[in-house]
Amino acid sequence: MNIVAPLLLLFSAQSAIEEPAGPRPAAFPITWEFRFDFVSPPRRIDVILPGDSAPTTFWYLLYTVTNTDARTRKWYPRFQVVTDDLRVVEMDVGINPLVFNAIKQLHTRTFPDLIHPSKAIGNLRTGADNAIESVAIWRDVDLSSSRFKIYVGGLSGETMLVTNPAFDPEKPETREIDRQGRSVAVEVNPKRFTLRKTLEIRYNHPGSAAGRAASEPVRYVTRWVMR
Amino acid sequence: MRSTAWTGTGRRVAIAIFLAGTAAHATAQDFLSGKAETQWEHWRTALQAILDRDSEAAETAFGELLTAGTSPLRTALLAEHAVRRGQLAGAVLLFEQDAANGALGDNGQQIADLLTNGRERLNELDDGFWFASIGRFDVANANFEALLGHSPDPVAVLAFVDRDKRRRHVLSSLVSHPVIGQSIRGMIRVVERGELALAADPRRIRENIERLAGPPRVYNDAVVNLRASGEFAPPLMIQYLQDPQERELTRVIVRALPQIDRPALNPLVVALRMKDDTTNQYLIDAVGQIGYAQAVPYLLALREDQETSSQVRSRVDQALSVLAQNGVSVSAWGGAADAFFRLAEMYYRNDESLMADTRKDVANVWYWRDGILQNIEVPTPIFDEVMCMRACEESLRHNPDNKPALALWLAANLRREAQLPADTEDATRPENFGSGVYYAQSAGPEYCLGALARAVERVEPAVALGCIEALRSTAGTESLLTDASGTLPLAEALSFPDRLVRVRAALTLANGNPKQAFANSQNLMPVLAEALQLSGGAQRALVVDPDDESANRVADRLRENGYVVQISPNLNEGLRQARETMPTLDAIVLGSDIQSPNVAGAVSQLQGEFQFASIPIILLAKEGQQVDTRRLAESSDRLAAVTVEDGPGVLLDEINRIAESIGKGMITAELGTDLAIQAAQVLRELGDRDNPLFDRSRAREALVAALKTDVAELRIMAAEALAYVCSAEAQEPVAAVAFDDAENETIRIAMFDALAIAGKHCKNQLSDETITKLVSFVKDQPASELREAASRALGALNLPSNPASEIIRSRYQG
Repeated sequence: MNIVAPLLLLFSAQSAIEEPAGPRPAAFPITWEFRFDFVSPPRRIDVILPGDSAPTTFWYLLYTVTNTDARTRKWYPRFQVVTDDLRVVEMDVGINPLVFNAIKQLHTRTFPDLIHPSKAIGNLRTGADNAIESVAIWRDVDLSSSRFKIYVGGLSGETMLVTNPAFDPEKPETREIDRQGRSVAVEVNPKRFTLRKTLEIRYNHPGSAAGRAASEPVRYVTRWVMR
Repeated sequence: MRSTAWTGTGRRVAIAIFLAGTAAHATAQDFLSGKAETQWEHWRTALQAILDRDSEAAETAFGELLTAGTSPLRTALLAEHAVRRGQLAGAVLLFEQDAANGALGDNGQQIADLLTNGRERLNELDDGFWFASIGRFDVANANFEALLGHSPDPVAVLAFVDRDKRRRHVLSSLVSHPVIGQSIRGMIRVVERGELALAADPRRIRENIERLAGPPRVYNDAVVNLRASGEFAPPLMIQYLQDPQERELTRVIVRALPQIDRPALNPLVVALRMKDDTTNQYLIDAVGQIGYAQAVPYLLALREDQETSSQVRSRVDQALSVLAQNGVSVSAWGGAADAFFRLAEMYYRNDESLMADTRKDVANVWYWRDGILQNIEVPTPIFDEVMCMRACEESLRHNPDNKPALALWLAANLRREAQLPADTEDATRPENFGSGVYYAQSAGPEYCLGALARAVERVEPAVALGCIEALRSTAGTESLLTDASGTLPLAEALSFPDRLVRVRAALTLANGNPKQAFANSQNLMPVLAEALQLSGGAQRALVVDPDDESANRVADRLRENGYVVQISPNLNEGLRQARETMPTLDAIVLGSDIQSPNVAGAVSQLQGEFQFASIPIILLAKEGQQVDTRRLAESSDRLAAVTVEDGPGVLLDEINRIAESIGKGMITAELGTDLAIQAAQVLRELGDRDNPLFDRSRAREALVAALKTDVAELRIMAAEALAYVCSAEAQEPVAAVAFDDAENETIRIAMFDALAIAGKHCKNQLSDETITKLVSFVKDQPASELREAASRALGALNLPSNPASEIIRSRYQG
């Protein structure tokens, strides 16, 4: 079942959901914000990749992102799955075209303008006519676990700086590390952390492990968090 | 708050303090437990007084709250609890306004300061869990780190964590996480300390003992709670049994005591020393019913005690029968002395059924003193050793001539000393207890050899080094070689995997100047030669990594810190190369992506081989394999995991940390040079004594190499040792240094003197060319001291060509 879920509608059904701890976003948008529609729940597809004899499982989330602001904005999406055992799995941007084509073929009627995740990144012009239809794809993750969350970053310009409670003024803020022969400075003792307004979509997958293979995860929270 | 119960140092904690009792009651609804209940009462009273604007009553209640030892975090939780309950929410606001306006008394102001501080801790806790749950591990880590840096109140942290069951899930899920794992492990330790404090809470235990008299459901619930209190429950249960006022509880306590099961055993067996026969019989029954073999020595001791009444003795027999019915082979334990020794052996080999909970930092050792059970906390890593020593002491009480027990005590004491974590102390030992070597020396060679045999068998560098050090100063030649059972532990130590142990054993043996061949004597010279190469303290490492780039980076870091490094893409090939080029290894680095065997197989292989068993193994976690690699590293105290990105300090710190924890002797530059000098000296003395047992020529190459170092003392000693190696290959290098104008005069004179010794001992082995050079030197050298030294060498060589005549003739003045 495809459920196109406009975000604004979803928020109306959240009154019974626990409030997030930690810093919260502003009650009303204070800067630009994209409209984000997605097909829930994430789908599973098995594809035999070149050179493999067995299929590989991928999970994907189809979405449409629309710039409702008056100016062209950059769309730098960041999709992350946080599993029940707190493993963070990034969206696979450099996905094999075979996988994308298989997804596109499946949804060609409902998402005729679906573009590859790597091509979705960049300028997003204003208005529904310029909306982007794309897909976030994950591999190496099993979304049939009992609970998981999807975080979508890049949808809002709202940020917040929070003080690092462990900041030590007597230690350097960065450290040089050797990355493939290049010296790179990494933050090891930042004064502050930057949090960004991020969409959180929580799923519950009720039932036993065996039963979950045949059922779909149920979305039970969609909300903004500062992450 | 724990306090010192009797004089002495350290963390001596007596159960007696529990009897004084601090308020404790777990109310799951409020998450208020332990002292918190009392604190809540004072806080509530104070807030009510604030509402009533009764500043005097408020000040008194705040004072009582301070006396009850409220922590910042606990104070913040109390305030939050008041706000949640609603009735006193306004009072909290009023309290804060009073604080801001300076309207509070001293006590109130102190509480206000605690609240401010505690709210920061509470925010760190809250944010730590929140950011961990949404996958912002960097922010979560910073919050937990900050919190841990403030030594938070463990019971308050536990209360916060248990408010939401997902928080335990966060802790267990992230325990090995590369970013946050360390602070999560710190948080888990705090939570465990909180649990321990709650479990040991005397008021809670007392309440549950009294609830045992209730209906069956209450009884069962009380037993569950007492079981959760574990070893802390029996001391108070015994106290109730001995109290005539509590006689109506006797039946239920006797029924409940065995249900606490194994955790009750350690205090119970110690309590069997009590003189109260009636209570003791209850305890004997409980010990029998619990059904563990470790109780057997204590029961046997009671049976053998002349002062034990026939009634008690009969009860002991019954308990032993119950144990036998439960599958314990009581007859195999022999008498009390043998049984305690057997128990000591079990502790020494870290028998799992006796080990303390390794997840906890401390474990309890129980004593029966002044008619009550007392516990002394010891760091968990030394629990087995302390218990082993106690069992040995008991064995010796029953049989003062039990030599194996004394030898085992020495070994356990040396191991205890090595395993005692830094910045901790063993409060079971009195002040001025003395070092492990002190006891080993006092015991004499026979016992040291017994302990050494055990160390050699179990590959324990720290114990071996302690025994060898004691033997060095106490043993004669004969006693160095054979222990009472006819084994040769010191000679066997020449093949010990740890280089420092080998070298120390070789030096001790050689200094004993043995006259007869002994097993493994063929290894003495190679080990002394190895010692000669230690000048400067070079360490050796093997890096096994299929990726050249990361292998070279790790190797470079090691080389920069004085390591000689062998690199190989495969373990077995690397070990083969290392065997050919390195006498020993000080560290092995394994890439997590190695194949045939893979990293887990490689670890298993290395740990199974005697010669590598005590070498630190560092796992180099590659991208995508960090979590699995860290899990593997946590499986043994001889493993650690680092990443390629970690700086050189991390790698070396981990090697040193493991080496220290296993008692491996790290050879610094100073120690290496000192050992090399000692080796050269002992080789010279073996030559001087003309000991035919050892072929000194086997150390020739190492001695020649020592001549090329920049340590004058070593060079001179090496030259003198070479003087007893009768070959041109030994004499020519000494002569070369003597003739070298670039060398300082002292060294050159010493070299000529060494040649003189060689001449006397071995006669001339120099080439004609060198002899000609020597004659010319004696004739023409203008510096008189050098010339005289050369002349001594020339004379001692006793050449047939009569060079003296040539020299006299050359100086003929007419």
